[in-house]
Amino acid sequence: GPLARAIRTKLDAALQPTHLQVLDESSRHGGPPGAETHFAVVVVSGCFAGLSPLQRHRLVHAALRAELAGPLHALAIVAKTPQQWENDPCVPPRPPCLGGSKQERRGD
Amino acid sequence: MSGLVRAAWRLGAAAAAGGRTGRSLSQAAAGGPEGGGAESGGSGSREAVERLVREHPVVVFMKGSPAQPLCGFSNAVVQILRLHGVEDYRAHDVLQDPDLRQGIKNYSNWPTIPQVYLNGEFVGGCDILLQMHQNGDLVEELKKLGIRSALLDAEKDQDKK
Repeated sequence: GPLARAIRTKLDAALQPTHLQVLDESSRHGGPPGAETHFAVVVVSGCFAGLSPLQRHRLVHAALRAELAGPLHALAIVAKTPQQWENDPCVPPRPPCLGGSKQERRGD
Repeated sequence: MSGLVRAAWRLGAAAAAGGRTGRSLSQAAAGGPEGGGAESGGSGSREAVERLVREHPVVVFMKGSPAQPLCGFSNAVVQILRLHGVEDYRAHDVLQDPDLRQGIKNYSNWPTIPQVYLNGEFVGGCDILLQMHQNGDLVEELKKLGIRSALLDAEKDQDKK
């Protein structure tokens, strides 16, 4: 969709990633497929070298400032250097949706 | 299970309050000066947020409560803290307070919820906390705050067996 393309374009420009995945996870959060509200990005870039996770995530946020101020409601980030990705090319599982403010969840 | 967790959280919050009533500061602020909003000293102002993040060694801004998270990412933070035996912390439900919801994002210059603060310092959201949990950093950070992670005791028990 258009937001996914915008995210990809901006991250490519800002971070020149060697590997980039942009995943629309909106359907996992109660939205219809293709809603483009919740995204996960996997960004592998040399730009992250020497940066703490917090600094890496801030770089991603900076690249997507306009989207985050607008339609992008949630953003899960995996930010690795090419070295780290080579050693461990996996993405942690996403937490399950709990419905946000639409739904009350009973305890386990 | 949830009843126990709820009780543990209330106990923790009461202990942290040190004898004061269990009302969270964000609730108190909302009842205070009129006018809300980040500029007029309401619950989303820099000063108000600063007070909240310094209130306790572990402060979380989330959707819902630890007993009843309303978002998968917020729940992940609660579950990770629980794994480490951290039940005594301050949790602020941003869904209850739109001024706080915006104010905390301005304060940390971070666009999303949940947000975790250790010793008044912004640490990150759910992804970062998960990473810290997986690579052992969280145990270390908690140790610096004088909090012994339950995972250390779990390991010791395993060694005994």
